[in-house]
This record gives sequence, structure tokens and C-alpha cells, in this order.
Amino acid sequence: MKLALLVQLLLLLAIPVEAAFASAGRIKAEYDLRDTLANVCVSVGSIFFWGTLGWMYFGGVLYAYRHRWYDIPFAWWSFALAFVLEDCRYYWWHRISHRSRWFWASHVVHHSSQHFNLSTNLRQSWTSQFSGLTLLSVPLAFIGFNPALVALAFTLNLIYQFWIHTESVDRMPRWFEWLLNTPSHHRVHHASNPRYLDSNYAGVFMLWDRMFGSFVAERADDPPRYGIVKNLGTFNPVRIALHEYYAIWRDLLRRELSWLQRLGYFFGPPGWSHDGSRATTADLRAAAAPIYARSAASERLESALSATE
Amino acid sequence: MGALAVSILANVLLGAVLLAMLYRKRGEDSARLTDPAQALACYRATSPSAQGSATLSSDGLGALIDLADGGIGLVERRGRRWNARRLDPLDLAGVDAREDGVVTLRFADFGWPRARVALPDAATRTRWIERLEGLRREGAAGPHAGMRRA
Repeated sequence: MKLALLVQLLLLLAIPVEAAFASAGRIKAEYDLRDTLANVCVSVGSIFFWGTLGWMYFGGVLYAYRHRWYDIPFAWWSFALAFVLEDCRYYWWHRISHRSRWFWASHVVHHSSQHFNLSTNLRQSWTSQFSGLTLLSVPLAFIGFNPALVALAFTLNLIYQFWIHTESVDRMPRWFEWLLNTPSHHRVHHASNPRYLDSNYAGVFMLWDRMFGSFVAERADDPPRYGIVKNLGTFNPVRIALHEYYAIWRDLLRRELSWLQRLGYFFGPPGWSHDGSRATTADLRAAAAPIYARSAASERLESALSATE
Repeated sequence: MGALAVSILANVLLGAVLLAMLYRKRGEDSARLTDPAQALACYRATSPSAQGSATLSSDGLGALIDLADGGIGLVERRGRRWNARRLDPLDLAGVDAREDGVVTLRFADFGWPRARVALPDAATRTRWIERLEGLRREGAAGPHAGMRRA
């Protein structure tokens, strides 16, 4: 517990260090103090809710372990296996969090900053215990992994993800970029450019994105625009943490909707609407396709012209 | 519980340092819109195919855009970014105009509750307020009619 706290404090300290280096022009990173302050305020709320409601997560894991299928020994190999499986669990948790509006309402908090730096780590959900997705943590304990191993794998996974929230690292070596999550892959994940939406969900291993078809590489000709499709006009932490729930509530109250349509607004993909008046990721990609095609064609023309010169 | 308190305290301390820095750096953000084409370019960052003409806020911190398809676009400075949105009749909850030309738009949107545009020219202001009020009335007669607006 003390070690986890120490690590947390060290990571927190890395934020002003990155900001200071960025301010001195030594590294590429952009900080907006109001945005960073909002991240810190959201973080306080997130820690509070995790601290007071985290028992729901641990309670679920302990309950599952009590009814486990096998007794998997507490050993290095079982930890390695738990780490890989926990990363797979994280991938699916993350993917569902982006693809269904009820879960997105909780996770959108982390994506709502229009900046991407180490302090973005702090902008975490207040409602992760309520969304129901903590249930995904149960199977590992149910199979028979010791809850301490599951918790350690979960913590290390989150700690790994701290350093990938930065613009100051361009690319890692090729093998590293292929195998592991990196700042480049995660910049794509936080971008709202149509071609980057809903991609790169991995926590540690990029394997899952490559396997399940959600991998998108960062392109030099399309720098990431951070934030969400409909950005927020506020730095108020309460509004940041709860805005999407309010939007869902408003949609559910619309009088002309059938119950099926209400379910669509609740569990459908973000941007879904019963009358097509809003845009999902698929719609945004389709709308941007001709623009991307034109720019690719003009690139090909330019390179052909330069080759003939 | 002790770890939770230390964790929160560390964040509060970081927040206090940031507040001090924010106080020292106040007024340093000098980015302003100086040209309607600039406002349109900001809007196109989120709607690449948008066409229209922009009316700049006199302080350069925002713009209203008369979109070619009949809609209204808004660009506003938020921190160090330009944010843009298309005004949806369902979201526009109120239009308040002050005598000094500042028009405040209130949205039924918890994540973007209000926007402010300064339109000192009386004719421009009247034209925009009429359009915005028309949009608001359209929304008030729509599916949320009777709902309490934010």
C-alpha cells in the first residue's frame, strides 16, 4: 500500500517536471494551466470515489474468488499469466467504454481534455464503480487467480499507462511500437480526427488491437487533434465528470421516442440518434473519407511529379 | 483511509501550485481572431466541409457563423483552444443581450453551458439576435417543449 502511494506521488511529481521542461522549450508538450487544474480537481473527485466505493470492485473480485473454479498457485508464472489476461480484460473494458454510450458517459471524462500531457492521466471517471463494467474484473478471480495477483496486475497496467500520455516522446524502436502501447499509439487513441476515432484501446500490449482490428497508426500528415467530437466549453470539474449523463437524461426524456429508441440513446454507440441527426464514428469516418481520398490523391500526384522532375 | 487522504492532499498541493502559476500567468494568452476567414478555419477543424460567413466578436474571442446550409455555427476561445459547435435548436436555451453589445447564449448542455459574443454594431446585433431567437423558438416548440431547461 505504501509502495503504491509512493509510486503515485512520484508519478504526480512527473507532471510539473514535464510542464517545466515544456515551458523551457526543451520538450514537446503543451500545458494549459486551467486545463491542468481541471485535471487535478477531477482527480481529487476520482480518488475520493475510488477510495469510498472501491469496495464494490474488490468485493466482487473476492466474492468470485471464494467461488473459484481452480486453485491457481501464487507464483511468478501465474502472475505473468494474470498480467496478460488482465491486459486483455482491460482491452475489452476499454473498447466497450468507447462503443456504448452508458459506459462512454463514465469514460468520456478521461478524453475530454483538448490537451495531451502527463496530467491527462489525472482526468479519470468519478462513476466507474456505477457503470457495471467492474464486473469484467470478476472472471480472473473466478478462474482462480489470487485477488492480490489480480489487483497487482491491474495496478501495474495502470502505472504502465502513465508514461504514454505525452507528446514529448515521438516514436520508440520498431519492435517496441509493434509489441507495446506507446505515446504514439495513445496519441491516436486520444485524437478526435475521424480516422483515429475508436482505435488503439490497448493498455500494455498492442497485440489486442492488432488481433481485433482496432489498430490505427499515427500519421505525420494528420496530426492528432485531442479531445472529443463535441468538445466541452467548461473547465468546471463537476460538469466535466457528469456532462454525458445529463445529455443521456435529456435524450431519455424526449416525448416522441419509443422505448426501443430510448434504449438506443442509452446503450447505442455515442452519436447514435433515432433520426440520424447526429453522427457516430462510422458516420464521421464516412463523411471524412472523400476528404482523406482527395488528400491521398494529391499526395500521389505530388510524389509522381517530383519523381518526373 | 490514510493513503486516500495523502493521495488527495498531494493532488490538492499540485492544484495549489497550479493556481499560483495561473495567477502569475494571467493575461498571457493573446490569441485573438482578427479575420472572419480565421474563424471559419477554426470551425472547419471540426466540420471540414462547412461553408459560410463569420461575424467576429469585437474582443476577438469568438465568432458566429452564418452557415451556407442555413444553420448557425459558433466559435469560442476556451483556454488555449478554439472550440466550435453548430447551434442546435434543442440546445439553445436562451439569448441574453446587454446594452454594451455582449450577447450571452445559454445552452441546455451541461458540458458547454454558455457562450459569449460581443457585437457592438447595433444592426449586426439585431440581425443575429433575431436569428438566434428564431432558433431558440424552433427548439422550444420541439420535442423538449415543456421540459425545464438548464
